[in-house]
Amino acid sequence: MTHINKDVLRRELSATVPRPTRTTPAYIRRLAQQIGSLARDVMDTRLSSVALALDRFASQESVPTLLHQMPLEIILDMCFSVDPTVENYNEYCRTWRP
Amino acid sequence: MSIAARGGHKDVKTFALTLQNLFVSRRGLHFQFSGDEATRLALEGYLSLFSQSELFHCQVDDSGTWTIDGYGFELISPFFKNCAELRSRAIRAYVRTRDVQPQLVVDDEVFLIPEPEPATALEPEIAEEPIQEDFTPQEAFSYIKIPVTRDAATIRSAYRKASLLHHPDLGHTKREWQTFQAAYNWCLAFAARRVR
Repeated sequence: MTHINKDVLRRELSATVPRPTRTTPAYIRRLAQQIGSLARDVMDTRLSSVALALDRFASQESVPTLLHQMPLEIILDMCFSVDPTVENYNEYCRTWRP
Repeated sequence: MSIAARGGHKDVKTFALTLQNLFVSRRGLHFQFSGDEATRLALEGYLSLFSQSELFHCQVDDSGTWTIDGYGFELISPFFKNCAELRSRAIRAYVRTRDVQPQLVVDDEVFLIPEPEPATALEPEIAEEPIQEDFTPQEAFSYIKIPVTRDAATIRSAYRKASLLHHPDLGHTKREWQTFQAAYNWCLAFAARRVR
């Protein structure tokens, strides 16, 4: 089964979700919603789990500050390179350096 | 005989077929149609083009009755104008024709679509060369695996995914993307019609 890859997702998200000046939890939530809607549309289970984890990540009280500096590419890198759990996202953000 | 495979996409013609004995059963859509040899061949080529996609099965029996079954029956219906009124006797169809001279039948009035201009003496080699389309529907179906199913949502999502994966921004041709996008849009419209 072909999964939606990062390039495809980045192109789709850049076209549908306007990028704010700062990456905020609301923006992450919006991304998660968009990814979730896309995942339902194309019936991609891997994408669904990414969306779910991103949404939970955005709902956390302490979204790591470094996340605010991350460009969309890095966020998507994170989504696709780590196992999509909130803990893993936290860890990724903690270790990420611009 | 596959006419569509040989025709260029610039040669898409629109003409009407006069259908008779059109009915829908559990086995699919059945119809007969009147027309000359050219019309018959054109429709045959058109249907064979789609049957290569394994989306639907079409067959013709000795009495000249065509039977279309499978999801493709719904897939090709956008090419039949106003598929909600399948019982209407005249249906317009898009057919690719280059080697045949189809008829245009509008309210029993018959028009002959002019034949392609003969090749001039200056460019005989070009005229002899087969036309290479940059993209054909068969190619589209070879790119992606469309599940053979009657579940409209599965088909729709396959087209949606295909249109995402074959976007011009990702190095594919615009025509590829438009084909999948059009199929996806049609599936959406089809679902909307069904709900009503």
